[in-house]
Amino acid sequence: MNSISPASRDLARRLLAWESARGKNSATGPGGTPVPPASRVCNKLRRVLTTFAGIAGFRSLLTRALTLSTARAPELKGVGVNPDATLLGIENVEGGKKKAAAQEWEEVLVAQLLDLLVTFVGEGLMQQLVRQAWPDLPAGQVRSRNQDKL
Amino acid sequence: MNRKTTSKSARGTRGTRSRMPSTATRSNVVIRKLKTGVPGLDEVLGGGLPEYSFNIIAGPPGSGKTTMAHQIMFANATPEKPALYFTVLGEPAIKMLRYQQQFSFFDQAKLDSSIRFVNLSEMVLKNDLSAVLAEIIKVVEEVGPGIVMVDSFRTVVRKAQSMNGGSGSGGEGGEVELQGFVQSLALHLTSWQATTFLIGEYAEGEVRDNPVFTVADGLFWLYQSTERNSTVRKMQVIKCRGQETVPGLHTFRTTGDGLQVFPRTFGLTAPSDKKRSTHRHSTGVPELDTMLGGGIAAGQSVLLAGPSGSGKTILGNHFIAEGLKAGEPGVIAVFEELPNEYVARATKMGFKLDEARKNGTLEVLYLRPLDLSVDETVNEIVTAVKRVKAKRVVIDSLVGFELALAPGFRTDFRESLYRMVVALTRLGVTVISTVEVEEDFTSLGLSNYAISFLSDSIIRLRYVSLDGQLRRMLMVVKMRSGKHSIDTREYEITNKGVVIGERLRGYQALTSGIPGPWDWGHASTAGTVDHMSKGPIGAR
Repeated sequence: MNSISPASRDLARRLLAWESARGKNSATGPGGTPVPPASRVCNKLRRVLTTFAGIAGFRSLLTRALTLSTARAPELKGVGVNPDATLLGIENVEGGKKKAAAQEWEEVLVAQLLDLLVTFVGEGLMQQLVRQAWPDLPAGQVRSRNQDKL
Repeated sequence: MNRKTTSKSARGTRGTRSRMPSTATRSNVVIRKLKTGVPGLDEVLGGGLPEYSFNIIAGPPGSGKTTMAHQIMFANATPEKPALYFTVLGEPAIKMLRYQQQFSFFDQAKLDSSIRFVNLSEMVLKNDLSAVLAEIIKVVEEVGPGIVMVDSFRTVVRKAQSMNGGSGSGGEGGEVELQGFVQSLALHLTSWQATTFLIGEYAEGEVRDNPVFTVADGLFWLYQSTERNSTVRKMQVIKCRGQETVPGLHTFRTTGDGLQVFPRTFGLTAPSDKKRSTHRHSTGVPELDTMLGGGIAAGQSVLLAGPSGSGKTILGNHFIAEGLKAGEPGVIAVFEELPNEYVARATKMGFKLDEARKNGTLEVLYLRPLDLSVDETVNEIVTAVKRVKAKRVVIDSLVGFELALAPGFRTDFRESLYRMVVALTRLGVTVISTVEVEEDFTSLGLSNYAISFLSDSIIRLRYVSLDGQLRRMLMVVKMRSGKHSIDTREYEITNKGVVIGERLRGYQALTSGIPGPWDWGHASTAGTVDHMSKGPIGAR
């Protein structure tokens, strides 16, 4: 099974917590179902990444992240990626609409996506993209804890 | 200026000065030149890139187009005047960033505020060129960039071609639409005060009658060719409106620092540091100094020609070691062995080169064998000379230098040596080059390269068969800076280096290597010998 770096896990957790705190009672999907924080995180990354990588570029990254995550989080089996690179069916994942807080499978998916970015463009660029996507997020929240120790 | 219009200027001063009329006397617009960030390229361009110009970087895949574009972009992008990099169905942006960040010029901090990547792939796939143009204009007006790159522009060209006929060949309609697109793009980007680069894969034959190239102000062509087992990369500024450039092909290399261009005129155009000096450098061998009328004149070039094992390298060591003793830093360019081995061998003979290397007064350059270009070699040596403020240089050897060159450069070896020697002596350094000569016993070959005209002085070492022994002798056969000895002197190689002995007397045909006893029966000849032996210094 593909391993996810602790730093990406950590950052994913913070991004999801940030989105959970800001998404309560506001974001809803089709039929009024709440949009899981993971969906909002992926959408924010999508907006930044499609500018330079294109929709196709982000779509392939997200599809890969989803495939890798499914092995670790079987709840994601029914989730897909739309042609516009948004997540398809994520509202229907068990637990997604019951709790406001992010679920384990959400953390896995977002961390996997961040890990892929690190693999391709490096930690520094990944953090820059995150900063662009969440300009209000305090800088300390974007830095990985490993970096803080350096 | 393009090649056609530079012939006149080629006779004048090149470099950073423009051949355009002085703005002090005419109120012409002053075109600011942007630094490219590519070492050597500014010199080729005559000082830098014309600001607000519309340029094309063309060449085959893998020739370094994107890397050059990135270097220019990172060198010029600022938060006030950011760079916009449009990617169009070429290398995927994520991969491009992955690879480009391996170069030292890649500054991640600039990606936050000064550089913005915009992907136009979907736009090109789904829309016509007018929509693509509108999107580019929209982003440009939003960002206000100083630099705009479109990579790969070839994709846009193909789009225009496919839209008219669909066969890929385009046709007149496609060509007109493309020209309209390029003109509108050039017009708009220039009006928005952006310096623009279109990056595309083109073959050499595509320059003629291409509407894209017609509109462009600057056309930079990168070439990559394989000759035998060697790869040679060259670039040419085919066109650069508004300023004088250095014509011709210039070699370049891609390293971890990006592209480095080696202008053909490197070292030949800068003001000469060579001052008329009467100073003579000691060779480190007193008897040889005497033969040379007091040593080697400062700023001159000496050729040490001799067969294998005749002591050329050792004499070079003497020269450098003597300079170090006199506080004159040196550079040795070696091609045939690694610096540590070279220095270890010199140390065994008592030359303290190792210490000098450690304290920075001597640099031993090992110029990577294979695929070298002459310009690159000159650049390396000249840079080292400036770095250590060298007064003395030894090139050991010209044979090794020739072998280190890519095969395509060997045909121009004489011209190459000329350029190298001129570049070095213009700096005021004194150069000794060693050259191995194939010994024959019928003539006195000076070198196998017919390069002796390049040297101010030539010292010939050779074997001679005397009294049943293979002995060594040397002679000064040419010296431009004054009188020199016309003696042929025997010498030995000892564990202290070269020791020069007496003049070889009583033999005739010494220079053939197989002399015989002098015919003392001819009084007039014997008299000449006596006269010459008393006067060691003769005029050339």
